[in-house]
This record gives sequence, structure tokens and C-alpha cells, in this order.
Amino acid sequence: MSFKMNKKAVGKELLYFVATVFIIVLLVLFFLLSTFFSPDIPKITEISSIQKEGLISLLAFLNSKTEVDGQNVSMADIMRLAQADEKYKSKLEEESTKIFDPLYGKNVHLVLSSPSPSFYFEVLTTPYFVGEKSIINSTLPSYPNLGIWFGIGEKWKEK
Amino acid sequence: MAEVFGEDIVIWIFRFILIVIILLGVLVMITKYYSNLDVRPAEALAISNRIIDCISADGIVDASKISKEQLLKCTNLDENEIYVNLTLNSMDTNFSKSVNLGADLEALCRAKEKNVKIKAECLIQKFYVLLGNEKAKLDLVVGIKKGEKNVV
Repeated sequence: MSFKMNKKAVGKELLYFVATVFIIVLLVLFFLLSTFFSPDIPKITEISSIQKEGLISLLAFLNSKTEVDGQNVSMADIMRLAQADEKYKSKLEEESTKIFDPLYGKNVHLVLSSPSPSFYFEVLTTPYFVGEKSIINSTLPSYPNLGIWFGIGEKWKEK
Repeated sequence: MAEVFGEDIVIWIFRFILIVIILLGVLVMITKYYSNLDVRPAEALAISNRIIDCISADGIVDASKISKEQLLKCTNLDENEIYVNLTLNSMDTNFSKSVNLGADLEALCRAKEKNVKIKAECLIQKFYVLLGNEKAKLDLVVGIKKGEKNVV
């Protein structure tokens, strides 16, 4: 009688043992597979490093001036005026290409948008740009309706 | 003999093996997770952000701030372990200014940029800035050795 009970208890314990080992093996496998097949998500440090470059470069761009019809006009003003005037739109495109292309290749993304009045202008776009990870949404204090989306893609680093 | 140990002895053998397996599993996962931990990229980024905030928080640079004294004032770096190269080039004139701090890792950092595996960690950034009214390009290279201290 005593022997039978022992056998039963050992069998039950063996079942627990096998089940636990199975679960642990599954967990380890899942963990290893998830790290192996994880998508190529950029590290947080990479994202913020791009943002800092973008932010400083954008601020400098906004503060810079260029000549339009014999007058020195700030880029911030050109951005505002580009909403209504094609002349300023092409000036903005020309100036941004002139400045950012030598620095970052064709990897700069600059979009202006305004909800009211409705306005959307893609000044520069890059096919290498990955999602929204390095887009900075900034607004000019004097022109609260104008949103500036600026980002630098990572491709230039591979040159 | 069986009476002395009782039936529990067999069960406890299983339990002991089970505990060992669980501990090994946890150990494998922790080791796997932390085996490639390197805080130097974060450190390089923190140093770079600090330098940039110190010399040009709004995209406008004062050329007099591109100096070794200013870099040391901004960051208080250990020159034996960290390398900083700051180069300012005007896009309108020929004006250029460069400053180095610490042991020269420039060649290593440039090699790293070309995907060569090296022991130092490097961060290479390019900024568009204004030098007064002039357009300028600011190149910043931060290199960190600290192979023994910061890499697990």
C-alpha cells in the first residue's frame, strides 16, 4: 500500500517536472527568437542624436537670411510667405537645397504645414527617411499656425 | 534505510533539479540580455549635446567659444579617455577654426565610420550653424576609449 502511494506521488512530481522544463524551454526559445528576429529598430541614442543635429540645423536655418528682390529676408519670413506666394516657395526650396545638400546629401526632410489657412508644402523629402523617428515638429513663435517638420535621415552617415 | 528517508527523498530530488533548471534558465536570459551592454554611445551623445548646448544652443555660434578652455569649461572631461574634435568651417568665406581635446582618436573614429570594428566608441555629427550672419558647418567628433570601465 505504502509503495503504491510512493509511485503515485513520484509520478505526479515527474509530471510537474516535465511541464516546468517544457515551459522554461519555451520561454528561453521565445526570448532568443524574439531578440534574433526583432526588427531593425534604431536605438534611442541614435534617434536623439539625429534630433539634436536637426534641431540646431533648423534653428540656424530659420535665423539665416537671404536676398529676395534686393532685400535681406529671414528664412522664417520666407517660410511664412511661402504659404501664399510661389516665388517664396521656390526660394525656400532653392536655399534649403543649397545649404543642406552639401551637408547631409539628399537625406533631409523639410515639410511645412499649416491647418489654418490650410497649407502643406514638401520642401525637401528623402526616400531614405525612416518613418517619423527624427522629425522635429517645431513652430515659429511669431507664426503659431505654421508647423515645420524637419529631419535628417541616417544615410549620410554611410558615405 | 527507506524508512529513515521516507518517500519524500525521491520527490525532493526532482524538486532540487527543477530549481536548478529554473535558476539556469533565468541566468541564461539575464546573461544574454546584458552581454552586449555598452553605455559609451549614450555617454558620447550626452557629451556632444552638452558641447553643442554650450557653444550654440540656438544655432548661432560665437567663434571665440571654439576653444579648448571653453570645451573644458563645458564638459570637464578626462582627456586620457575622451577625444573631442570641433571644427567650424564658414560656407561663405575661408574662415575655419578647429579645436582638439584629449588623445587623438580621429583616425579610429573615421575608420569606425567606414564600419571597421574598433575598440573606441565614436559619434560623428554635422551641424548647420550661423557664424554671425555667415552660414557655417560645424563638425563634431566625440570618441571614447574607456574599454575596461564602460563595457560590460
